[in-house]
Amino acid sequence: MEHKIVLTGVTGAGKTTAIGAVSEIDPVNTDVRNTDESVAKQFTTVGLDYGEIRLDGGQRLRLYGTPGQARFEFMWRIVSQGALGLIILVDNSQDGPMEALETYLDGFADLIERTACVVGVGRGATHPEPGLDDYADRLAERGVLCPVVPVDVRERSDVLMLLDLLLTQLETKTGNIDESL
Amino acid sequence: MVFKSRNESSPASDLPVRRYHVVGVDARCESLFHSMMRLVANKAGSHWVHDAEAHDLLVEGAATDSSGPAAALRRSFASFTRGGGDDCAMLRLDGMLETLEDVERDLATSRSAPAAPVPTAADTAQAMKLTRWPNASLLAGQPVFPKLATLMLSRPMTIGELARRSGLDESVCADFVDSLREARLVEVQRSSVPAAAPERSGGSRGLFAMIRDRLGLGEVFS
Repeated sequence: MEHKIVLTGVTGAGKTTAIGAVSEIDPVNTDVRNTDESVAKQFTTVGLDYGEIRLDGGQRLRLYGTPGQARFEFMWRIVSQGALGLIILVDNSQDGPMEALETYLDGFADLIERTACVVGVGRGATHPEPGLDDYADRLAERGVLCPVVPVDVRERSDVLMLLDLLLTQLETKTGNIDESL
Repeated sequence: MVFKSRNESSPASDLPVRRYHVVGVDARCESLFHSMMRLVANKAGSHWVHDAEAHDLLVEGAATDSSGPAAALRRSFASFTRGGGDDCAMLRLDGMLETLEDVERDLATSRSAPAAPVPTAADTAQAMKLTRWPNASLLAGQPVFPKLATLMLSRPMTIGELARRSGLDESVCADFVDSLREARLVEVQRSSVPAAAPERSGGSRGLFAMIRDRLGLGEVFS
């Protein structure tokens, strides 16, 4: 049985690095075929970052890093199908990080509603604006209730924190929670 | 004798909730007092419930220890009885109602009395849920605070649950939740039993546990 968690964010936000921090295989970029016939045919394949974690009984947790550009929204829907949850990586050093967050909140709205989401804000130490509170305000305005935390995806512990917060939401949401975390 | 009046149904009206406690009387009189208070609980301008930990009104019998718990207002047990004294056989509903109305007037004019006391986090029976993600300053106290907040995102949690799931002392969890409450970031479920989330089919608990085990996530915040 296979399970997946989706990571999204702009190019350079650190999706590949984040996946590499926890994946048990070297992260790879793989072409995934577009099966959505409603979109332009020229997008027959799209590159996705990929990593995986092997679980008991031959199960696997697949980590998918989506292309960040909005023109690949059709692929976001495909990758979202059956996903456990979403991690959004925001890069404060790039232009328009708040607008980027809005794009992903729109593009992954169904997945966020159905499962859980964590927003990791990168490079906030060198680029403090927008602040974490600004992101939290925007999420509240959008009616999205999810953690917003600073992250350095080069640090494995930070990536684990994102996964931990995602799992914690899933566990409490479904009632499937361990007695001790 | 302990009465869990706070677990009773909330009043249908929008009356502010007031809390009281009784000390310094024997168990029989205390029991009778609680019973009669329930009968007049909604008759004055507030909904009165018993709360031994935090209260607006402390009713003191003759045997009261002067170092009793703090309250916004104190009244003698005798002020609730007809003819005074601590003889609970002299308790009368009309007399109790008159005293309560008097108390409520005093509370209304007292600067120290909250108009509608907000339950404190020390009340471990109350489950609280976040209404939005807290500001960074509220999460800066300890590395585990974001996780505590996350626990409260999806469903109401009691202080006891937070402590059990985080491994932190209840006092730490209570302080954290108090800070959220003061920032008006939590909604309180006025019940001793938090809403149970529907169990997900398909053995997901095993999946999440497997992922945690594989990633060693249990060690992240320890």
